[in-house]
Amino acid sequence: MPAKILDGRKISAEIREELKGDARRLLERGIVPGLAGILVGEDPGSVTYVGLKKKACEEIGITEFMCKLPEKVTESELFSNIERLNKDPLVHGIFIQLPLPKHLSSCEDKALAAISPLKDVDGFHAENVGKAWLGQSAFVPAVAIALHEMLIRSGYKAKDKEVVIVPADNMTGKPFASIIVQDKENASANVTLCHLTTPNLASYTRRADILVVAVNRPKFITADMVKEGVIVLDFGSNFVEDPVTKKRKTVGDVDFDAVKEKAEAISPVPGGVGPMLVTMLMASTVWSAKRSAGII
Amino acid sequence: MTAEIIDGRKIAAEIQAELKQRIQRLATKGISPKLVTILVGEDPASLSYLRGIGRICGEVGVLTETAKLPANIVQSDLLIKIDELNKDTKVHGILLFLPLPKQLNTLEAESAISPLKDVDGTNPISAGKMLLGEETFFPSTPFGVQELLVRSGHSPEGKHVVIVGRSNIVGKPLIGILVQKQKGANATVTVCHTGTKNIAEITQQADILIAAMGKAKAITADMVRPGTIVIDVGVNFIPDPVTGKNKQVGDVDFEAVKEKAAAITPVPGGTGAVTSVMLMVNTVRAAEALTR
Repeated sequence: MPAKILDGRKISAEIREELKGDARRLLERGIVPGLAGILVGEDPGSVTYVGLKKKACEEIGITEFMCKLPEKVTESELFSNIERLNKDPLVHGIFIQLPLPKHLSSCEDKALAAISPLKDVDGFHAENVGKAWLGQSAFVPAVAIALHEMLIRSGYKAKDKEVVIVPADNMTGKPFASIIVQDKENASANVTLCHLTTPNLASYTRRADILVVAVNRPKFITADMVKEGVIVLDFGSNFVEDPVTKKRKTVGDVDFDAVKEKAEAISPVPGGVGPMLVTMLMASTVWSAKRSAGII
Repeated sequence: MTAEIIDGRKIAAEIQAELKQRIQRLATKGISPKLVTILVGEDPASLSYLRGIGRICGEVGVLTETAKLPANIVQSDLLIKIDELNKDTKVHGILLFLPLPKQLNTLEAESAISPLKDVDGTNPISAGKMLLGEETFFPSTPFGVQELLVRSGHSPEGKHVVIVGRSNIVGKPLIGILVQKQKGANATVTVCHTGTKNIAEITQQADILIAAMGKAKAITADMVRPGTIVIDVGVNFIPDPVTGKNKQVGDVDFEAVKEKAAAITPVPGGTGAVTSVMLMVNTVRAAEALTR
């Protein structure tokens, strides 16, 4: 029997409605969540992403403070803008749209570390990574929260389940492990962190009750690598040529047609976790506003 | 066939000998590694730990001082003291004894220690850097486990490590250390805990099994596949059935498991012995960072 398809667009829309309600209630207390994005230059991909974030802010009731800096901006100008946003009480979240232009790429890590940990909505700052790992209140990267929300809102429990994550990277794998390993409601899983280089990887993935994959290799997870009834969360993104239509399309890391016959549930690519990312950034911004207001 | 007994004391002695050489090299550059410990109040366990640190600093050749603060100190004064030590160029490592008296905010105090001097790795920034694979200080106990594995010839690279216990002090940092794509790490890591329903099924998968749950003799022979490397981080005090006196045992049922394991650490004399010297390793590293 084919798997339940986890609809990221639907879940995203649900969450946005809830966030609108949160924003309204905050407004009654005189608080408006504020999100500041720093965009350097005119890279088309970056401009598109920032546009999506702006639209989401408008939809939900978050004030957006987009900081557009020219391509040739100096390091000190970039840092003084970050400092200014750090100090602005109307700003609850700050993100830097990556990548930065070539002449600034060597200070990307420094720039991210310069964002106040209290406004680091992307959750990249070492202080937030550490606090989240230790089970303390902290920002967590949007993809990790998205994976978690998809699981919970689809009615799946993580407690005592074997969660297998490939790879154990800083962007997806470790942040998700950070959430799901905690001795908390909707977590408390038995977590296995694998690498692409893990010998005999299939022996680990076959044990998974919940499999999270983000290796960016098409058809990496085949049907023989999973057990019956697995829940597969696919965050892979691969641009391939469709064998029939010869057109280019996006697929995940999972051999979807084969695996869906074995899995209990599967997140498709596209239409799974991807559509949730901007929404979870908005959720982190609203959370930040609530936290600075002392509501949570 | 009985397991190889991994001698933690021997490994600790090796590390100590190497440290003495490093300290001598620092002396030629006019640097004397110095660890300052902060003791608030008179908690007996902290006092005992303090004595242990004093002893090992003396053995290795690391200077140490204790900032003794009154039990009723206010948070702002504690933070001022930490700030003073952060700025003191002669101080290379800062260790805050826990628990702190109830009126103090432990998280805030730990976060105030400069990551460059956080030799116990308690600042969340240190924990974050560790998880991200950036250079930082590892907390003594998990750092010691890694050293013990590597130096006893049982490097975790490419192996399946199963950690039982997910505490902030041992289990979680250990995951962070062993999962890095670096020498002495690069393992596939599974973490479970004492509440895990099918725990024996999971522990039997391990090439290297690390017990860090704080539950005496909870790892029994049926939970271990023949040929596993067993590392016991547990420290439990139970009455000896013969003498009635309290004795130290680990989380592993040593007598039974040693008949199945390929190698095993005893308690005492295993990981505990190495833990004590890792704080010295971090302090010396902090001092060496000044020479770069």
